[in-house]
Amino acid sequence: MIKFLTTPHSFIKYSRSGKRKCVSIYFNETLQKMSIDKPRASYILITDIQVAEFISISNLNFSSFDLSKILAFRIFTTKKSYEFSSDNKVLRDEFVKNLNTLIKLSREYMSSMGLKKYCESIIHGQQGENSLRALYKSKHQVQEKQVNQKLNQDMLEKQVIQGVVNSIISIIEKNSKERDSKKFKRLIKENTKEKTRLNEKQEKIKSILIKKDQEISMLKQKIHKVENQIEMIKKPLWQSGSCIFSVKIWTLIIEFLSAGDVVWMRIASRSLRNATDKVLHTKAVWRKIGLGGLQPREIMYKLYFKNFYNTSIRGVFYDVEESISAEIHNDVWRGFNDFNKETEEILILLCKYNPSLCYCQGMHFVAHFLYGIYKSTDEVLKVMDSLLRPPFYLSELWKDGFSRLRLGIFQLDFLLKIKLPFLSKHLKDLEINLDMIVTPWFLTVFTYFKYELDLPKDSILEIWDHFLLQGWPSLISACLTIFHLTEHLVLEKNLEQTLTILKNKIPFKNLSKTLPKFEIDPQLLEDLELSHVCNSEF
Amino acid sequence: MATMECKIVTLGEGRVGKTSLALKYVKNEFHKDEISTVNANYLTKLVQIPQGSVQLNIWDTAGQERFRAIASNYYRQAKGALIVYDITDRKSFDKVVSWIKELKSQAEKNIVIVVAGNKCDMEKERQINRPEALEFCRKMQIRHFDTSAKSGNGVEEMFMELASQIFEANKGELGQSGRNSRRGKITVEKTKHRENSGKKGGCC
Repeated sequence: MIKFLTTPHSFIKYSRSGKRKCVSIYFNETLQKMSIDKPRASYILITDIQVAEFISISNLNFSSFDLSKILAFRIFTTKKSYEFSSDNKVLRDEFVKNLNTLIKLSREYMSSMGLKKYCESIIHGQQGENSLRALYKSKHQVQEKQVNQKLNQDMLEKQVIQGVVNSIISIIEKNSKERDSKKFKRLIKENTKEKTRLNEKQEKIKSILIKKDQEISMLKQKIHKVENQIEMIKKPLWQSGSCIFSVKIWTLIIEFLSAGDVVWMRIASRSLRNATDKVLHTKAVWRKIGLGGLQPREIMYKLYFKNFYNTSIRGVFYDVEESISAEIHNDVWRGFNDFNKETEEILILLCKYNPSLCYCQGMHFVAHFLYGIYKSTDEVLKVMDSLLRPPFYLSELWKDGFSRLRLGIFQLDFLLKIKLPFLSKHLKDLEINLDMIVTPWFLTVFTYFKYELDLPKDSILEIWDHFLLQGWPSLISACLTIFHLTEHLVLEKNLEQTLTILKNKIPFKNLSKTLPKFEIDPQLLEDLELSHVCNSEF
Repeated sequence: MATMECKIVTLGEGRVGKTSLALKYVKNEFHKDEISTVNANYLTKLVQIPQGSVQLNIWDTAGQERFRAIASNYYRQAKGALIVYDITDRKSFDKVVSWIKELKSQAEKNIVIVVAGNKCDMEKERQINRPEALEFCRKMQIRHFDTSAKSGNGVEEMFMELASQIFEANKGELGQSGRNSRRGKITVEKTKHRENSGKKGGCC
């Protein structure tokens, strides 16, 4: 045994810095001292440790000193501690490995105290180990319990949350369902309302349709009646070949016929034409038709001229001077938007037939206006030709020297003083001569309003109705009417305002009502004409 | 500053652009095919000249030859006359001479006359040489202007010149309008009217 101890055994020593050194350990023969030396180094370093200095030698039982079983050990002395491990590499590695796993396990499962106890249990044998196991078990159980509790808590929480979420979801679903249902209800309500409305409309329309149908049937019946009547009237006429009805009856009939019907009647047969003409020749009846506002006026005017005035054109015509035709061309082609060619043709032909009347500005307005009504150059020519003669006197109006114009102004001046004294005085005060205002009215026979002011044609046609019936006197009365209509606007205005009102702002609305009020006795005008002639002569 | 009211007439052959010139000046409007004037149109504009202000009452007359018979109605009391001719039409220039003669013999003695050669935007079709027209006007001691109602060239200047000339010629009248009562019946009425409206006091 002593021999074994005194022989050196190789170990590996761990220095403080962790370096490993191969050392051999042995005791001296008295076993009082242990030597540690480094045999492989170039010099031999010997550390002697007095046995008395030993405090303990871990894991080293000198009584059964089996080298192969020694894995690692520590020598604690009073001065120092030395750490050694087995020289056998395989064993050492296994130890380190086990140690590492041990440390790892201890860190994972046990506190430092547990580790210490474990180590002690290893040192103290089976008992310690059991107690440690129990400790470990208890600890584990506690941990498990905690974990279980946590799990339980979590589960509970989860359940609670799930419950809450479920309730929320159910509430949301309920709400959405309610909303949807409300919407649907509303839609249904609206639809039903619309349905009722549409139904009402349908019924209305149906009733209207029924009414219309009734009306149509009524009208048809009426038409039938009228046709029957016409046939009744026709039959005796065709049979006899001459006029059966007396003039009196015809006058009664014509009053109820429109102008278009009259035209149709005149076309029907010669005897009928004669009869109507006879009736039409009494102007009083015509006046009822003409001024009754029968439409269309165009036909009326046509009829009127065919019946009352000699519309035949003389066969002879004269050459027109080039300067005059150029003047006509210039005037017609500026200002008008339509019928330029026709108007020019009419004016040139008119000058050809009436060499004494040269072209005068103003004629082109009348020609254009009349073409708008008759839509035929031939007819306009005839009408204008007859308008030149009395009782219209347009040729005197347009002839060189404007004799009619002067007469008209004289007559108007006289009448204005009598009928509208305030206006007459007002114009005098402003130094406005009547001819400044009235000349274009006369020269264009009031058609100038249509082109300069875009006046509705109706007002001009009303003036023309009277003109066609009465001739010259109606022009004077038309002037008086216009002055009367503007009087309240013009009075107390200055020169400029007065002239602009008389030019642009004549209130034509009440023209048809006021025109008859200013009808003038032709006898008076004739007297005035006489006095005018006398005045101008002296 | 006193405002002078004066009457101006436009004279000249048909279709030379009398209405267009007046419209261009007063309303700054121009229509290519101005409808022919029957007898006369009336326009008015207030002009500011260095010496004072002048209200121009423009009587735009018809150009047709036969209206000449009644034209005297218009230039009777006119203080200014604008005679227009068309530079592309020789005949219209010839008419200017007769108009000037007529005005000098028939109209007021101190009437201011201005001649305008209109349509100067159609220089290519010019028939009357500019020197010829200027020479003629110089002889007559009348201002001549080249104008175009289409482009507005010279229109403003011409009316301004007319207004200032009229102002100069009638300066004496402005202060003492009451003295001129001899001129005729109508002027008497005019002054009466002015008195009525409260502009001028004093006896008649």
